[in-house]
Amino acid sequence: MDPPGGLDLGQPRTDLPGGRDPHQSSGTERGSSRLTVIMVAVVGVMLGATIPRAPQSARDWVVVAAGAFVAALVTQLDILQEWLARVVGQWRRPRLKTVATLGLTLLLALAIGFGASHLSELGAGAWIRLAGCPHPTQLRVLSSPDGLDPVQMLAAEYEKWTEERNHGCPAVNVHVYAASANDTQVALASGWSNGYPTVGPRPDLWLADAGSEFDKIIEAPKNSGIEIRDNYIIASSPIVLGVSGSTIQALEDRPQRPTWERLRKEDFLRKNLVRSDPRISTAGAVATALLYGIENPVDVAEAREIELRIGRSLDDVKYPLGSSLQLLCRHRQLAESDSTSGSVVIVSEQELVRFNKGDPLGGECATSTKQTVGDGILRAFYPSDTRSLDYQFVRFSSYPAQEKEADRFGNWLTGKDGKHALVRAGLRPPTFTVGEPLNELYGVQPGATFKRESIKPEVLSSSIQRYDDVSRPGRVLLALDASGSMAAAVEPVQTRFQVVAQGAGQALDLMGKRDEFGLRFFPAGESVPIGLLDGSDGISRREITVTALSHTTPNGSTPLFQTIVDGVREVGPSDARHVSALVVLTDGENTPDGLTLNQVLEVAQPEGVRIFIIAVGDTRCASEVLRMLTVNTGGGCHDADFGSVGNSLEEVFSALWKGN
Amino acid sequence: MVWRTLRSTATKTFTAARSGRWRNARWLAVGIVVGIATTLAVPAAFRGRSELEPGELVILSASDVSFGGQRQELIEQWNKLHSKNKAKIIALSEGEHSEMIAHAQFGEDDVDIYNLDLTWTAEFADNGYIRPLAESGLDTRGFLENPLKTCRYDGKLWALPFNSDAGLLYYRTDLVPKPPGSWERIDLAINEAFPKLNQSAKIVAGYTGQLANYEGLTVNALEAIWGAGGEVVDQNGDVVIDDPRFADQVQAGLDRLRPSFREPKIILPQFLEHREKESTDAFRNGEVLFMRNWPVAYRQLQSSTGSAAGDSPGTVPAFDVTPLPGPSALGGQNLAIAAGTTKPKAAQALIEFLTDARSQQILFERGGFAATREVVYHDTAIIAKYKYAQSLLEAIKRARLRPVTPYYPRFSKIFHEEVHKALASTGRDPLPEDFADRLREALRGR
Repeated sequence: MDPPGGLDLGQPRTDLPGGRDPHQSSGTERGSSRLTVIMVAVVGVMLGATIPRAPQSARDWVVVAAGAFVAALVTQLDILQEWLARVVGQWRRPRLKTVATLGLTLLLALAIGFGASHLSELGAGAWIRLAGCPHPTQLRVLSSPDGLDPVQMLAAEYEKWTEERNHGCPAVNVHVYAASANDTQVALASGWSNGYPTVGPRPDLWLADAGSEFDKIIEAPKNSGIEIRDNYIIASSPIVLGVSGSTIQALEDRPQRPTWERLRKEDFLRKNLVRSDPRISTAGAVATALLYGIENPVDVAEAREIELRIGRSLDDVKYPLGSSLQLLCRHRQLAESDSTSGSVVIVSEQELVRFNKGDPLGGECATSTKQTVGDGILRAFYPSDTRSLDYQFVRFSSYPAQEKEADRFGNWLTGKDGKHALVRAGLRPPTFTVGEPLNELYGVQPGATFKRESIKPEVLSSSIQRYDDVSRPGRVLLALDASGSMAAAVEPVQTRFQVVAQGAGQALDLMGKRDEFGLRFFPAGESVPIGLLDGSDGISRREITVTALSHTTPNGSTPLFQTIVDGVREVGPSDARHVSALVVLTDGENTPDGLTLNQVLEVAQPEGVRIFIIAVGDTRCASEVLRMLTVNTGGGCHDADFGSVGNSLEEVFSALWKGN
Repeated sequence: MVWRTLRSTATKTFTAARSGRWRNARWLAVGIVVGIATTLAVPAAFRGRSELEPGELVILSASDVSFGGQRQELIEQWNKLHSKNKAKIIALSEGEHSEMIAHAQFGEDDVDIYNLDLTWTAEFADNGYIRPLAESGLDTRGFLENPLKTCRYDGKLWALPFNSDAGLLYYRTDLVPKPPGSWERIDLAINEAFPKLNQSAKIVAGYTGQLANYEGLTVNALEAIWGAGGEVVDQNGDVVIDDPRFADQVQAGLDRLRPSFREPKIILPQFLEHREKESTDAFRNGEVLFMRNWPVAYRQLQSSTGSAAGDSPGTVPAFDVTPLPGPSALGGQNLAIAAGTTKPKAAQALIEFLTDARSQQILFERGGFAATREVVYHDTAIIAKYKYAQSLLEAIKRARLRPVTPYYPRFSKIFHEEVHKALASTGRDPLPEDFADRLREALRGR
């Protein structure tokens, strides 16, 4: 049987001895003609491969060339038939000849393809040894402040994974940085022009702590030139009660796992319950919705009762008013000093694991510690109707290379290797069996069941609204350093005091109508008495505060300790009606006045007044004195320079003023 | 008319040649060619310098840490002079390397100038993210040699140095009578000072630097190794940290940064978390006798000592600075033209403006940025305002470059991570056996 007509490009008659056709041209001409046909086919296939996009690397080109060669060879089947004829002699059965020819072609194709692939691998390896690695694509990944460490770990594992598949060369360099959802929202709305000075690079993707975080930004990018190209859930972490070993036994011995509502109605949640600020922490926001009830939310009175209980617990053990990690940091400090609080801490399972593992928690707990053991370990209890944080992969529009790499990172996170990495970060990928550290050793029930369904945005926002309505207002005294050093100039024309006074004036805008405020200058002692901003006492505090700020002239020493003692007494203790705090803004150390640090703490701690210090200029929170004063009263210390003092004041006051 | 003239000239030339006056005709032809070439080339050369491509110029940079935002002041001056090429700085609070690389990898024309950390110049040049400067007519003679050296890579000039930096040794003048010129003298001064400390002294250790696990540790460890006579990467760019010739010196250098457990304590374990801020805080609080830091710490400490009305901030101990005992690792930033810009001439003009002697004077005098031109250090106003200016000039001149490689970030990451582990190990663990090989691989991007 002759080869098909379509392939008959001047082929010789193979049924003649020697495969020669006397009517054909000479061997040299015939070879030249075949070579031309092969070359044309190779070029054709290679051109085809460049449309719509050219191969990306030398290795791609080798593979394309090998494929093209095979394709071209197929057009010259008679060559193969000649070879076969030489091997097996004359064909008696033409059908067998065709089958054998096609089979050989296929084998050759596979061999060349396989060989080309390996050769290209070898070539790529040799090239890298010779010339070094191609530079990795840069990927900018945004995380939440609390999620920074785990996301950095995931990024490092992904880089390593690409290295192992690319001759030791990382295909991607992932830069991870953190911002709150609110800052992200503002930056995105501006097309990221606001994001550069406040957040950092424009992100290619965002690993958000929860769908609720994602919901905050979903409306923002519409007119900003930044689009959301993709988003999906990569993992979950249930909201749990972190309890001590003896307490968990009592809970688990029950015939049925109680719901959040049942726990709320029982005495269990009446004592020592702490939760992070839902305005700051995603876990805190979801926990608040669970505490208030999703199907049948509590009324205002009951919500107030819940917040009073939590507030009292926070005050008693001097927990900070902040994020879940800040709470856990304080818990760790208490455990390390053998003064275990016995508190029930509402956090996400992942946060609890990080605490038990001894991972860094930021702030005062910035470094790793030993794994928590014994009574110090927090064990996770999962109310039967608990919900989870659903970690979101959000990919933004970006440059083509970054979009492609972001996509690959997403594929990795949803693949087997990525899921293992997510588990190592303490998260639960969907449809995946978890392992260490999600086990008993770290206080977790690996087989715990919970709803992976996220709480609807409207439920979350209404519970936050209710939280705002029932939260205790702040009663805050601002003690402003007006010592001589505050008269120093901050370039170009303002003094330190003027810069600080400006920030203090702006912070008044954050006050709610139920919040109280007072001002005291030290060392002079002039003051604006504590009260509502525009209260029933007929005093417009905004007016007299602004006047006082503009008329004060810095002079004298820095009696810091005496100011704190006087301030604590003036503001009075925290109670059911308000949270008391003293905010001290200073640029200097205490001028010795006979008082010791212990004496100050003896006054401040029983009063239950939280002390916040904003250290500007020459003084720093690294000072042990400032650290002791703030950590032991449930306050906080913030380093600031004169350019950022307004931001620090805003941060402190927004955590304290809840009296909207 | 022109054609007629040319034809006439050609005819005359031909006739002249035929009539035996060929020698004169040949010179006439040469003259015509030279004349035409000159007429065409000279205006083109002038046009090349003077006609800047119109449009806004965007500089991507780290945030401006100068007093009073002097970089922005300079940009505003430029804008007053160049209404067709107004410039703006996009300043990032962090992650500037990542942002710049991402922009550069796309090659978009939305950024015209990158303000690069000097260790990134090779990476950007090697990848074609920046374009070489046009060197014709560019006078680089006034720049200090070392900062300018960081702008060259592979035989080309890729940038101009915007500001320089070098580490200085800060010391307590109340406890250390004269500046120590060697590491041995530092140790001696610590040993002598500790027994004399009174009860109220807050001193807890002898020395601190930037010893946390980040780029600062790469700088401090390189300086310590160089100071002990060791080498990490030689002049040819080869890793030699495992060369037996340097083994003792490398070990001695790293031992200087290792926390000590016997008295007097030179470095405390917690100092391995110190970055620039923490080390400055420790020195300000009087906890250490010596500190290695950048010149910016001088200004921060200086502002703490001058109390307007004699109140407590004046508790910062008396101090002075001197160059490090060994060479410092050079710091600083370079301005380079983005490869994707459509306005390269305008971008270069702006770079030349920002790095000229006047701008460098302003940036140092008002903003505190170490100048990249020597003349600025001899200015009387600078000498009066910055008492450390001459020490800084000496430190910059003696400074050495960190390894010049397109893969510097990877090299440095591996270097400081392993050095940090070794310093933090209580068992005084040495560096891992494969450390040098990993550094070699890092220099190839692996």
